[in-house]
Amino acid sequence: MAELTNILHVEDDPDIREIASIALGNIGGYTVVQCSSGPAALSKAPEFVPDLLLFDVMMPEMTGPETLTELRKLKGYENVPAIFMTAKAQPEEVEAYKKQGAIAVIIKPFDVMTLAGEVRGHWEKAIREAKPNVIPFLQKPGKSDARTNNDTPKTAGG
Amino acid sequence: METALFKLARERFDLLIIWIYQRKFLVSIYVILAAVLIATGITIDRFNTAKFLSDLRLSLESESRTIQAHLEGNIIEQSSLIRGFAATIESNPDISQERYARLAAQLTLDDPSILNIAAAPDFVVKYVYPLQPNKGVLGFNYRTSEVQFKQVERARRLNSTVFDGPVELVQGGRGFIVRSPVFPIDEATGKRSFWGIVSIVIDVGFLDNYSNAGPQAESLEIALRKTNEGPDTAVFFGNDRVFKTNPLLSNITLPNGVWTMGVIPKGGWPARAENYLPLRLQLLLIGGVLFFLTCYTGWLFEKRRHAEQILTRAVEAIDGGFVLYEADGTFVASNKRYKEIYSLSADLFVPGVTFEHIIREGMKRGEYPSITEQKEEWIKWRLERHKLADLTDEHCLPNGRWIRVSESKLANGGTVGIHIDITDQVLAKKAAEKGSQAKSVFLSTLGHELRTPLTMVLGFAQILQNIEILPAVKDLRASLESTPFDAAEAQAKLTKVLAVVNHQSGRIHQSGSHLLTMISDILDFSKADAGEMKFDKQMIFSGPLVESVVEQFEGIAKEKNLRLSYQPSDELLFADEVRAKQILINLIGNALKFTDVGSVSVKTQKKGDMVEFSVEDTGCGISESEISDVFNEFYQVNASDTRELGGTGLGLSIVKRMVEGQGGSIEVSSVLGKGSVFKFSLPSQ
Repeated sequence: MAELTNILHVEDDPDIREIASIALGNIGGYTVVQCSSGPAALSKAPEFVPDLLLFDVMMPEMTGPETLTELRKLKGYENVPAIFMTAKAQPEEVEAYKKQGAIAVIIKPFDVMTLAGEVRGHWEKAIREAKPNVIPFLQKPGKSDARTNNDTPKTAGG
Repeated sequence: METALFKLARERFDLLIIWIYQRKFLVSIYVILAAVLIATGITIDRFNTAKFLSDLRLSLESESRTIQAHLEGNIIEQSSLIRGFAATIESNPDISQERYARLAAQLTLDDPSILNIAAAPDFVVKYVYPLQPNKGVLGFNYRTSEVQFKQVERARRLNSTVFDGPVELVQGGRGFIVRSPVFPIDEATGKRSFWGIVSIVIDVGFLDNYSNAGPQAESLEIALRKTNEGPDTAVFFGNDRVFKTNPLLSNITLPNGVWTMGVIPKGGWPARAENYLPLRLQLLLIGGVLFFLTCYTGWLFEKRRHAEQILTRAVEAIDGGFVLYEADGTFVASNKRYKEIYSLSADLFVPGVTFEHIIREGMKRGEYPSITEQKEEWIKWRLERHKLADLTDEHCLPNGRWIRVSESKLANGGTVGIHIDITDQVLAKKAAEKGSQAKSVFLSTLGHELRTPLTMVLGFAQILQNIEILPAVKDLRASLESTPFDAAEAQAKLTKVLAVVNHQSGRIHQSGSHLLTMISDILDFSKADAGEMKFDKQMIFSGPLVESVVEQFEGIAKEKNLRLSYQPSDELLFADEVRAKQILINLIGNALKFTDVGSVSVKTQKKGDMVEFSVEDTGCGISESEISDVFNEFYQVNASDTRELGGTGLGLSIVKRMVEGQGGSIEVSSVLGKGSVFKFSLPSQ
């Protein structure tokens, strides 16, 4: 079974980035790479391929869905599961995000203490439902169980 | 009572006159028809009477000829008789009284109308038969009667039988006398010499027999008169009025004379034909039926015309175009509105023109500007729908008006179309959709704007609640629990923890304040929208008002490196200070929010009874297409997901309501990319 380790988080609001970093890094134990905008994420992307993409929707310059579309064009990003975390969450908007390729939509405000578990739940569900050959990176070896590394925050601002 | 009846009758009469006036054409036809029918009836009746009289005359002519023949036959017979008697006397001039009586008896035996047979040698009556009641005639000398002598002398002179009469008889009564002279041959000389006169007196009553001579004789009235004999031309038999009533005339030829016989029907010529009553009844019946049928047809015509008028008026009154096509697709009729709607094709709406021609020609003339592509396919589709009469479609006219077309099939296969102008509905729908879309965007934006600070408030609160999760706290705890305890290190770590707590609680406070502002906006809008916003108006000076707001924004302006200026001017105005300040906060706040480079300047000046405030910026400006919507509720100039600046979209809407609620007005002018100027006025007193 593949592991969820690296998360690319794109969010323009510094306070929310800070809270998410604590929730996913300090509490969840994931390695969180954070960027403040879509273009920043695109420039960071070639450096690594995360296990999960977590995007805000409303951002200056590029929206979350636009950033996702651009990222999909990059090698290795074709099938990385993506979650939108947004305060714009009218039912029709949620549907639209899913159509744009999101496996789930987390509505702000989120629960700091359970955010990591919620993210993991969506991720695992996507893994179970996906065919192994469609998501080849799931077979990547050498990843430890993130839940055992709660005390090792590996956050990064972006 | 009488007055009321009179009034009622007059009202009814007036109504009748109005009815007639309104239907004068029809009434004229009825009157003319009645006149024609009456004239025809009278003509037929007269013709019938004339024919009847003509037939009757023909019938009487035959009868008259019969009577004439009988009468003439009788007279000839009498003449022959007297002539024969005269011949007997001529052969025996000295005839005895007895023999005379025997001969006379033989002659008169069969004819009761012969009153006597007399013989008057040398004009003196010597023989008469029968003696009674004619005895008084004996010895009568004709020479003593000028009138009778004239006749007997005439017979002698003419040596011929003479018919005379009727005359007053010596023995009484009236009668005809047939006289014949007697000229016996003198044996000595062998020559004839006048002996005397023999005569037969015939009772006038014999003519009555001739009245019964024919089959219809009983129904005849006969009159006789002498012809061309001066005073004797007087009617001697029958009533002289016969000759005054256009009788059938015929001549009765007498020995040495002529009578004129006049014959008329008994009682005179009838004024009417025998069959006049049934004929008139028939004419009345036929005329009545014809008149009734004409009136009924007229009534039906009137009713149909009335129905057509109502239908036409109803069709014309329809607030939409009405058009009717035959089953074969040819145009029948339309109302005026239909022609107005399709004014470019109005000349095509002529009975007999096909729907296909109208549609194709209309397409060429630009009647359907909304059909820009696949025109031929659209025409085919339209023709098919028209054929099925199963259509509800909407299209735009060249003048921008929108039309909804509904077509239905009629029982006879025809198609009726109703074309309604739905422009107002379309515009209202578009406006509603726009409003709905704006509201939807507003709800989404509002959700975002509320949830974003809430995320910070709840997030940081939750972190502080579970502060142990923070690495700084963990470090502090480790330091506190370390042995030996290093107070300085613990102090430093505590300071670090306190800094984190201070930062996060500060963010909670800031986000909470932001939320409060938005909630206030929403409540203000809610109040303004419900018309419940209250204004505590009082006299205030514009100077301190503007200065206080400008001071409030100086920090933000400095942060953005913008020049925020205020041109001092202290005008007195009558306004709600709190609301006025709120308006300025909103406008100046917006100006700073949307300006990255340049300045924001605020001015006030008195204009008549108003004080005008203007907030001018050098920001991004507003496009021409969006400027009319900036004061609409829920509207945001940039509502996209990439907008950099937040907001509920209620600010300017609230500002407008607050300005207008105080009796003022607000306007905006802007150039995209150059900046905007918001001006609002409040009453100065």
